[in-house]
Formats: sequence, structure tokens, C-alpha cells
Amino acid sequence: MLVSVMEHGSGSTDSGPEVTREDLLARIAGGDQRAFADLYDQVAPRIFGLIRRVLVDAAQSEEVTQEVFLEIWQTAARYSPEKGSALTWMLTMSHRRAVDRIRSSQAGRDRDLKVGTREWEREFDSVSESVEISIENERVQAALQTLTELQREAITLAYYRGMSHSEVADHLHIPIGTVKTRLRDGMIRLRDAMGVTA
Amino acid sequence: MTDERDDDALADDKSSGAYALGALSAAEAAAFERRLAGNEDLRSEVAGFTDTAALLGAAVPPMAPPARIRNDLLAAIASTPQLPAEGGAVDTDEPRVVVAPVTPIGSAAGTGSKRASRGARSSRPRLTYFVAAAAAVAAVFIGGTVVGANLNGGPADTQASAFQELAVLSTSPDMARTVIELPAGGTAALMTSDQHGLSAVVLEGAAALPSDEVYQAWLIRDGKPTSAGVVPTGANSIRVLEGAFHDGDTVALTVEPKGGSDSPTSAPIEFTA
Repeated sequence: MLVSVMEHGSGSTDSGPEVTREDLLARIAGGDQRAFADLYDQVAPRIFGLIRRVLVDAAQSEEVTQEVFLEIWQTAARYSPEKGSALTWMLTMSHRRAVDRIRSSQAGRDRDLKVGTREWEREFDSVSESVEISIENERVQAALQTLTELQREAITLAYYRGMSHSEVADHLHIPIGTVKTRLRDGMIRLRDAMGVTA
Repeated sequence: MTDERDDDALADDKSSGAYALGALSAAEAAAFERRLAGNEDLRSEVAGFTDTAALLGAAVPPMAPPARIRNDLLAAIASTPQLPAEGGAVDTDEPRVVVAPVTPIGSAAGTGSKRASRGARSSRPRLTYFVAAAAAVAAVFIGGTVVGANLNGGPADTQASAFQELAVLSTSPDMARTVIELPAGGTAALMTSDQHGLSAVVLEGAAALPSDEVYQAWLIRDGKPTSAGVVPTGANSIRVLEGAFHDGDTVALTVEPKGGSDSPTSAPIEFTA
């Protein structure tokens, strides 16, 4: 996947998946609109999938997806590989914008509160076209099994439902300090189980 | 010193998980980031958590967005300026405003937008925004909040000038903002600049009115209301107000029959701090 291909300019580069997202970002930073289109084709389904998972509402998810890609275009020069992979950078941005949207609009209040862990886990079972994704899913799925039920619940509410820690506390009727601890302890377990090294 | 105490109240080192999961409020996240600045261990923990959170994100089943989004974006970036690498531009102490076309950018896009964006860029190098003439929907980021909104309504050239006025208003050093709750649900923000004589109303998450009713804005001076225009329908919408705004003026919304009224016919909802 991460074969580095150096190429420049507007020649007839057959930019398939062998061009890394990091390369594409560097070209986008230089104003390369074609690289932007290529990057879009590579990652839009993931970005839209994540935003839709958090926001649920289709129209809002489409708007936020556009905001994310405009931000990618505008800030590509600020991406640096030291900060993590390009995909991490983009997914982090997508999640942040989805959460911002929830907190700033009716979307959060209207969001169907019944959409919860059960459905999410069901979706996990019905993976998926791309090899890379299904591998990541297995990894994540396995890692999630290392959490306690309470940790998994708190992390799911925060990340996939876009709840703030105080909302999680309200939702679960537990003190906010307990939520903080669960989130942190859960993230430590997940990180270690997925072999993430900072 | 006060700052440190506030920071302690808003965020501590245990907030790292919540931070990486996006579960802190803006104020808490800012407080946590101040802690990060002086703590390498904490930074390293957060970096690992951020990667971990991204893996949670990558595990969501992909879903293809509608094809028009790609087309709209490719049209939009053609006239969207890019930020330089770290160190330049965007000063977080100033109101950060980006007026960005979201959808539909459509076929008429481009006529006035490039000119406008160049002008804006050269005269305000520290702020990033651009103006799209034909966009009926704008994303407006004001002080960190994001609104996908209907702007003014009406023909494209009216919208273009509304965009420009909104950009001027939003970046004005004397811009003041008052947010109120709408009785029917949602919030309305009033942005004003005495310096430019401009004002605008931004509805966020406004509950739908009956289909034959609209919000109408009024500029009230010496107790006398003058119509400042009808706010476009939609949960998120923006109306740049008609009439020159001066400090001391009151702005109010009323619910009126579709098309608006010559004078208010329902109880005014006043913007008061």
C-alpha cells in the first residue's frame, strides 16, 4: 500500500492507488487540483462514512464532508508526516468537524438517541469490500474486545455518537470524573491492543 | 495564576482520552492544549490516542458520497486560496471567518467569485475567506462554530453582495455578536458593526415555522421599527439586514406571514445581551 511514487506535473500520470496519500497531500499543497481529485477518490467514502456515522443526517453529513475537503485543500501545506499518517490527519479533521456540527446545531439534539451500540456492532459484522478496511476492522474489533463493557460504552458514546464527556456522564448517570477515567483507561487499552506507538 | 486555576477546573491530565475522542468542549480543549504545551509525556500520550481514535474512524464502513459533491468541490477549489505552511496567516485572536460555498455551487459559479476572492485576499492577508457568487448555501465559521446556511435568498447577484457584506461584517474589528434562544427552538445570533453600518442575523438549528410564516427582522430606532428584511427559511440561515445599523439600535425578530409585513404583527423577539 505505501509504495512511494514520486511524480510531478500534469503529465499522463496514471495515478492509481500506488500514489500515497501523503504524496497527494504534498502535491495538493502546491495547488495541484488533479491530486485533490485523486485524493478525494481514495478517501471520500471513508470520510463520508465516518461523518455519516457520527451525524446520521444525510444532508448535514454531505455538508460537513464538503467542509472537510475544503479544509484539506486549504491546509494541505500544514500537514506534516511527523504528525501521523495522512489518513489519521484527515479522519481526525473529519471527526472534529462532525462533532462541531453536532454541538453547534439542532443536529445533536435531534439525533436519534436510539442509534447506539447494538446497531454499530451489527455494522461491524457486515464488513466490507476493501481488504485494508477489513483488516483494520478486525484489528479494531479485537481491540474493542479487550475493553471492559463500561469502557467500550463510554468510548462509543463519545467517538461514534459525538457526545461530550459531560453528556456521556448525564447519559450514563455517572460523575464526569468517572467518564474521564473510563475514556482514558479505555484509550490506553485500545492503543496497546492495536499496537499504536506514539 | 488565575489562568492556571481555570485550567485545572476545565481540564487536567486525565482529560487526554476525552480530548483525543473529541469529547471536550471548546473551552476545555483549549485549556487542555495549554497543559500540553509544557508536558512532553502528555503530548506523546495524546499523539498515541489520536492515532487510536483515527483507527476507530477508519473502522467505520465506507460509504460513497453523492457524485455531485465531488463536482462541487472540484469547482470550489479552483477559486479557493490555500494557506501557507505553518507560521503564516490565521491569527486565532481575531474572529476567524471563512465563507465557503458548500452546495449547490452549481453551473453559474465563478462569474463574480474569483474577482471577489482575490480582492478579499489582497486587502486582508491575515484572514482567509472567499466569496462565491452563485452559492445559495454557505458554510460560515464564526468563532469556531460552523453553520451550513441559506444566505439571504433571491437572485445570484443579491447573494454575491450579501456574501461580501457578510465577509466585511464578520471580519470587522468592532463586530459584536449576541445570541438568543428562539421561543420556537434553536438560536439566533445577531452580528453588528457600527463602523460599517452592517448587521446580520444567523439562525442556527431554528425549529421550522408553519409553512406560511417567516421570521422577519426589524431595526428599531427611537422605538420605531423598520423592516430589515425577511430571514430565509431553513434551520440554518443567514440574513444580512437592510438599513444602516448604528450602535444603540435594537434589532428584533417577529414571526410574520410569508413575504413579510409592513409593520410587526407579533411579539418581538429582541436581541439583548
